[in-house]
Amino acid sequence: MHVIGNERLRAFVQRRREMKYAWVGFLFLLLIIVIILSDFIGSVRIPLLNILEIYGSQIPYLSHFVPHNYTSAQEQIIVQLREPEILGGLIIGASLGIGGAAIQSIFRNPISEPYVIGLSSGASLGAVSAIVLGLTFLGIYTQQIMAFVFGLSIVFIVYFLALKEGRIHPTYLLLTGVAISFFISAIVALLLFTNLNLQGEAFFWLLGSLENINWTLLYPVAIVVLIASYVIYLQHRELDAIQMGDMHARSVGVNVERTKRLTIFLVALSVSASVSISGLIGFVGLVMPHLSRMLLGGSNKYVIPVSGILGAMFLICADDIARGIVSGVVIPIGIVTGIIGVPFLLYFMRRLTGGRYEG
Amino acid sequence: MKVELDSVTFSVPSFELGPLNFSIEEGTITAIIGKNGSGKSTTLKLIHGDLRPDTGSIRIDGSKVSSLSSSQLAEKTSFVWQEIYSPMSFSVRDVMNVSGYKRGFDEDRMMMALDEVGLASFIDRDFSVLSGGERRLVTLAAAIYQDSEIMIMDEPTNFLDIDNQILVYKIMKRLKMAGKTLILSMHDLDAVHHLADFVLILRNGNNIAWGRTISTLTIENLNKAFNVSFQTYDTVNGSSFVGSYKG
Ligand SMILES: Nc1ncnc2c1ncn2[C@@H]1O[C@H](COP(=O)(O)OP(=O)(O)OP(=O)(O)O)[C@@H](O)[C@H]1O
Ligand SMILES: [Mg+2]
Repeated sequence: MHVIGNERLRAFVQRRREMKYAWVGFLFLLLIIVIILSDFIGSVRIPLLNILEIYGSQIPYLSHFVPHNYTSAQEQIIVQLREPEILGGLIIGASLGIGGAAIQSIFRNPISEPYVIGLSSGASLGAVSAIVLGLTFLGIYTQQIMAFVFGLSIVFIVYFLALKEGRIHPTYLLLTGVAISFFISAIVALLLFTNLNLQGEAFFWLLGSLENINWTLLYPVAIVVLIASYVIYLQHRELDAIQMGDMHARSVGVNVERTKRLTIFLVALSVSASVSISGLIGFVGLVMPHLSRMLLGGSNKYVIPVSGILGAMFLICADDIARGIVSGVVIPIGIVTGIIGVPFLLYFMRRLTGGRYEG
Repeated sequence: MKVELDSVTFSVPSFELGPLNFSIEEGTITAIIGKNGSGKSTTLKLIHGDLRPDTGSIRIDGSKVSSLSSSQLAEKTSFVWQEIYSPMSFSVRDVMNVSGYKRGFDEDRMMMALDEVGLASFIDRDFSVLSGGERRLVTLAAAIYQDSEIMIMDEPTNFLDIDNQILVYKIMKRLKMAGKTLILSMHDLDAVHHLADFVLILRNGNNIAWGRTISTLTIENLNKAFNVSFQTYDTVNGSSFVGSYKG
């Protein structure tokens, strides 16, 4: 990035648009590399060969042919600690990026993200009330289940409050979402205010962290996110049309209300599931879709998958920093995305567009 | 495909339209004229089913527009909107692709449509940085690409220079010859005179006159529709209108 000047970088971007498939492939490959390299990071050093062997041992049928030169402690660290955390970053980052792309299309609003439809405040209410009230009626994962259910429910409430004559008006839905979020956040604040001794745990959730993710939490969330993301991707032509205006979308044959309903529901499902195990991770849903538009243009055929790939990559890298920057301490990932991620992205966006991007 | 309006009225606070009674024959060009705010766009949106009439019925090809699904509607009609949105980072190709939603992707037809408006080389350009006129031409090409029987266009020549206005009129004639039904709102009376088979004249939502251009686009009717007074002058292809500026 340092060696390429603005003009040349922009010409580069122009050419890149002509080879979109190749670039999606390249970014995907980069993501795989980031995932593998991330397994290195942590307080215990494990050699690459051992990590690859541990991977091999996890693949059915292949495991018999893989040499076994690693210790069981090493295997524990990779399989039980690092892998779920990194794959959690993958799933959560992808769900936020894809959700952001879909929500921005529906609202035709470049500064919206999945959280604006009430999702984040709902999930916070679920999680914080579980923590503060010490709820355990749904087992050890009560907090996560409550976050998921509340996130989803608040989106439904916002949606039905904004519905008029069977139609959703984007700005009205956005305003309703913001208003309800404000209301719910006030309740969350009240819960925290009246339970000062439990603030630490709740704050950790509000800042987001991938640290507590384990396989039991990851599996169901991964399935929900993968299915929801795939179905959102199938809507890419409808979302493109809606980006040109609801009336235009209808005039070319798109069932606008059905598309909006389905997409909002899938985003709510996917992102609620994600944040239920990670806490609130901001910024990814807002910025990744723009980064992919800058790279590969505005068609959702590319924006949706590339936002997912970039969101995953960004979150995994942010988590690497959160785990690796101070040895023995894991900083909440929200702090890393803010303090390190934001300046980096601002710089990168300016290099890509010369500050002339119009959304 | 026939379009029939039967005692259609529509009202919002501060504006009432209709009653409108007319029927548009297949393969004709109909122009709606009138002052700003006289109800041209509203009439077009009613025909397209974006607005529901308070009373009366609107039928396309015999079936009520309100009962058509968006998919059926898109097959029968396309719409060129008066305002043009700038969707986030779309290229010209992306905009064209949206209009191909119903029929599916067809590179050849897409290129032909763009070529007809002289913008084939613009296919990979960024739509949002095009000039107003260029964007207008792309939206026209998109409607041609959609290839519906009825083409509704709200001020299709706004933003266009004279050369491109003439180009668009030629395209409209070509579309009519190909059997398309065109319903337009326009401000250029000379163009209406030469292009349209039928005219609807509106003032404050009232139907001042409807009928064949030759018998409807008269000095008397124009004087009723606009505040300036009109006269004709003769040109090589017949008479033309001019509004006087004495106020
Ligand atoms: N949803 C609405 N609410 C209130 N008033 C409306 C609404 N839609 C249209 N109007 C009013 O109806 C009138 C007719 O509007 P319309 O857009 O049909 O005019 P037009 O003939 O297309 O004008 P122009 O030549 O400026 O495009 C205007 O006075 C407008 O303000
Ligand atoms: Mg108008």
